[in-house]
Amino acid sequence: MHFDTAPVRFGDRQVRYWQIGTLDLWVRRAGQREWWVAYQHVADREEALVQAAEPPGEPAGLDWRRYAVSAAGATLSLRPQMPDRPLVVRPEAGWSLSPGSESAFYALLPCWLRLLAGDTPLTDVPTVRLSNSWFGDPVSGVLCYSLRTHARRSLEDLPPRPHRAVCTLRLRNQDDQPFEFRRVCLEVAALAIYCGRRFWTSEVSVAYLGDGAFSDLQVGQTAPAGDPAAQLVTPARQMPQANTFMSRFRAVQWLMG
Amino acid sequence: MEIVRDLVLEVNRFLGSVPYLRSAVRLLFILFLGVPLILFLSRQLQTHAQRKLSAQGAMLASKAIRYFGFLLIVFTAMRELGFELGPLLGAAGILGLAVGFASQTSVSNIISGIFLLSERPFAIGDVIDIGGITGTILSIDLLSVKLRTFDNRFVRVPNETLIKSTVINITRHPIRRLDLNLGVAYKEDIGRVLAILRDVAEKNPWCLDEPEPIVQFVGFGPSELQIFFAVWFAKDDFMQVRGTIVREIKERLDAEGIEIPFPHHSLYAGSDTDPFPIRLVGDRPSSSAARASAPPPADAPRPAGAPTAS
Repeated sequence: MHFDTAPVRFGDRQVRYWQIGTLDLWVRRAGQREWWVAYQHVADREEALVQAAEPPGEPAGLDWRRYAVSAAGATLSLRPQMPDRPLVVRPEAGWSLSPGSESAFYALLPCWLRLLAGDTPLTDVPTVRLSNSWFGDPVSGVLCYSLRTHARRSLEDLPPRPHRAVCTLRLRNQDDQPFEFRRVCLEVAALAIYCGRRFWTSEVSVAYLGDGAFSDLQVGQTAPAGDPAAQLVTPARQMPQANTFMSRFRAVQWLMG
Repeated sequence: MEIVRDLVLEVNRFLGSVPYLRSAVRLLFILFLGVPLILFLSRQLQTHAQRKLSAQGAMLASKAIRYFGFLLIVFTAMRELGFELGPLLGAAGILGLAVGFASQTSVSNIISGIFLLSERPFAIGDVIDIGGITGTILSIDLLSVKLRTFDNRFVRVPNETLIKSTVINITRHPIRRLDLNLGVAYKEDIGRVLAILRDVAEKNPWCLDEPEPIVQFVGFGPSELQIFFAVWFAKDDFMQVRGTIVREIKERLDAEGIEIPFPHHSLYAGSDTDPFPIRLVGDRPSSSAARASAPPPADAPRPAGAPTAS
């Protein structure tokens, strides 16, 4: 289950409406080279999916943002995009990986919507309103979003969500001591998005080497194993670099205990 | 090449024919070439040094090049004019001694500025609080630090003052904490109140989930149950957090019917259900005593500061 990424044709001055998860989105074509966008978030509504419909009405005080584009056009498409900050993901319960073991965890990461007028990006709209969080200590760290949903051990435990992408985390404990997995900070800018039965991100693999050290992050460059037929819809914002991740642990950072 | 060589020889012969003309030309050459060169070098240094040094370091390096360059030009010009620099420097030494005594404060500020540069308690762009003055640092110079307050005033703080005083760098670290002391009425369910406050912190998008907000019942006040409430936020979100969290707390407590008491005193006669006992002294009160003890009319104005019993 995922929202449609195919282009939608607009008539002149036409308004269309989307309901994707907690997001209500209105888009108006105000001229050959002008688009208006407005959105709001509604709490406690994760499964909703209404696409390119006639708007049921405009709430009072809607904040319209106007965009001028250079190329004339009448089509608009929505593309999934990873959030603009790292995400802190927690497993549903604290997990202890025994020495030498490997486990896979699945997390539902929220996608932003990138609105494209033809090929021109207008704006990125968050599909959920995420809470700020900090990964690190009070003196140094990284500002990120906190994910309220949990990483699961089984793919079947993940509910269908049109605005979220499944991220597979493969953890390997190469130490001779158990490794406590409590939370992880994912640098989502290094993840691509694939579209199959649902949205998927690139697979992420990392090994714990002991004494707080981790291996190079491995980010998959092909469709995930859970849906090999999925097609790439959004490339990663930045390519993962081994030195960067090893020296700063930005892509995958772990906290023990 | 022959023509150029002949031209140079001819110019040299001409310059030598007029007294002091050669020196004057050399002096003009030094001034009109040296000054723009020094300025150009200092600007280039400031531009390129900002990649390696901090903004204040680049600015100071640029100023050092400029002052040293101008000093060099002055000495060269004076030598061209025929001044002997030896006695001049000797006199400058004696003059320096006299000036030093007179400018102890300035020298102290310069020395303090050097210590500040090496210690780096703050940088350009930081927000500091010194002696109750809060502002953004505009520049860190050898004698003083310049601030811009939030109401757009310009403040000059001598470096000596900074070295001797407690300076609070508000924006040194990337996250900060907002602390609030709250009070709720004694009759409230403290567990429920704490849960509500945690929910308020969780729902505020600018409050960080980690580090976790602190919501603790900390004591018994004279009129209220005392609660310590603290939330972390990114330093750039200070105005949003401060402008929203307090209002959200009040609105939520009001919606939940939780009382935030004002300071008050309650009079109890041993029990909160029995009326307060009053005993009349004497069988027949005098007329004045009767008038004095009679209750005032219902529409009479209450004297200012008169206590009320509850």
